[in-house]
Amino acid sequence: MIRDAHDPTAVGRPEPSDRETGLPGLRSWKAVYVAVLGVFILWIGLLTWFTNHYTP
Amino acid sequence: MNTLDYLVLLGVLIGIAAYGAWRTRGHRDLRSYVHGAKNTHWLTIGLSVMATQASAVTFLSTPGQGYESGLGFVQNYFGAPLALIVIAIVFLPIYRRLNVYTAYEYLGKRFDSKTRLLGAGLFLIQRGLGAGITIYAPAIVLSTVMGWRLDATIICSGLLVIGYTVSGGSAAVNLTQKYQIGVIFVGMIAAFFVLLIKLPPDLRFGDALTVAGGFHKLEAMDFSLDPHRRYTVWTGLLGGMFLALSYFGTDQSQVQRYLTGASLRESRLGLMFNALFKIPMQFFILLLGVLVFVLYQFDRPPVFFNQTAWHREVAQDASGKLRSLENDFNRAHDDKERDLKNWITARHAGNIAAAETARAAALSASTRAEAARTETKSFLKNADPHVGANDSDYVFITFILDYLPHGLIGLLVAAFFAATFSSKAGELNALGSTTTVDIYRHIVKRDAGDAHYVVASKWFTAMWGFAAIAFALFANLVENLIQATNIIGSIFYGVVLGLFLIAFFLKRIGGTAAFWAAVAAQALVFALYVKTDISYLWYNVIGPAACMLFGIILQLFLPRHTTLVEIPNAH
Repeated sequence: MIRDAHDPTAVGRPEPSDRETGLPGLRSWKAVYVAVLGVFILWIGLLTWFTNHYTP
Repeated sequence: MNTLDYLVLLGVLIGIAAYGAWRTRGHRDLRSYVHGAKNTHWLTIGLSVMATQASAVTFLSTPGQGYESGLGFVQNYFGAPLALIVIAIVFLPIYRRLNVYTAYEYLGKRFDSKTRLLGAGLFLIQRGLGAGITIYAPAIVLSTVMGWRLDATIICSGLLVIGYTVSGGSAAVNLTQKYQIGVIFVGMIAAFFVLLIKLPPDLRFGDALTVAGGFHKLEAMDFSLDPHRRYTVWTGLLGGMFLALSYFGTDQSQVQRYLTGASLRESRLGLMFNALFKIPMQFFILLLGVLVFVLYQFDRPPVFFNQTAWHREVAQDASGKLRSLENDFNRAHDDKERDLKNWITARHAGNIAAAETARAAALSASTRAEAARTETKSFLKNADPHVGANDSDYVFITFILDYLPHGLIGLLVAAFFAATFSSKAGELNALGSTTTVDIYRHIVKRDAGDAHYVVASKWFTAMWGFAAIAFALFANLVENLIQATNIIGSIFYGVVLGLFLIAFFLKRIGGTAAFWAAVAAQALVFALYVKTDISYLWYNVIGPAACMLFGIILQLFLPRHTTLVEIPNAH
């Protein structure tokens, strides 16, 4: 990534609580994203079943 | 509506607005006015992001879509969870690390001043137009149905939002949105239970779904590859993902919401909250519309849902054509109701053949009823073009007024206004901030103190609010309102997203190439809108793709882009 030098204070400042998700059972952000994707896929599956089940 | 309804309506709306203004009074520096105190909890961010997107159009118009076309519209939101994950991983850490006021400030840091102004300008144009629709859409429906004056409804609701948004800035917007979305959820869940109660006693919930399915209202998934189909799995996944990427990732009205988080963690969790609940929420609202459809299969609906327009035109129709069409509709509907009851009875008895015969008869009667309804709409549109042939925006409010008890009617109408206020406040807040930070402070007055910029931001917020009121007063929209909002967004969003994708991922492309690539891509999207009839969701794919492609090509003919400082990669 690139930027100009207008705001030197902005570079490399660590965010507090960045790596901790604070969620039980989902300690890393990767695990959070995978869980969200899993729920999304579950929704797609349920809606597909719903469509097939109720289409005459 | 009776006195109780008005008490609930005014109490909820004025109470939330006054509480928000009081709790957040006295901001003196620009950062706290634009970003709040940066101490917002993830749940507040999540609800605030949801409330900014879900305007009254969502709650008035989407059930109407469910009633008319079934669940297919839910596919429009399939890309949202994927986009929100990308934003949480890539966009958000960079915004926070650079400590920007607006998303377009980042374009200035990455490219140059003209590209920053182009991004901010495209946002101001499309969001300024959208802000007019946000306030007009519920006002036209509610004033028509309630018999209120349209101009008074627009002005009163507009002034209330301007009042607390100008007074408290971003913190007031976040705080009020939390309570407003609460009112909306309570109202919609109450409407759902009333719907279940009002269905015929011998019609089980499963039967209701079977009836809806029999009329093809539960086809949530469409895997067709036809590019002319507006809502398919593919337009939802691809077009919807790019639309959500641009909206949540580059639209200041959303960026401003999640940048108020106390930490990166809070902002990320707020976005993930939306990634989890966006699809179920839209499914639920569409399902409400489908259940209203089922209810009206057993309880005769009006032939045209905009009853005010209907009664006015009937009084002027000397030929008696409208009454004749209404009689045709009623006869067809009564036949359909009888056949549907036979269908359900046969299903309960396990008589498959009789059930199929009854269903076929019901579909035939439904076709006759729809033909009468279509002819009625056409007749009304010819008689008065302002009436509009699309009455689906009036379906849900008609149900509410006809079936809900007093008190709850007031709560639901309050929910519609709360949704208007929450999205309107987010938009005004963002329009005011962008005008102040990216235009006024960047070009007009560079070296004033913070107090000066806070005052300027308040003036610009109020100015955009008055512009939206003026637009709404003179607007004359007849299309389905939620689609109008999405089409305007899709025309501009793709190109803005293209600029950000170049900024994030194509490191060798400089400001001049990115700027002219965006101009050319925007011209291409306009040409597609005017000359073709492809689904508008594809503009969200074509816009960024064209912008990035043009950028790569243009950079080949321009001097090599030099970098000054490396930005650390996002975690």
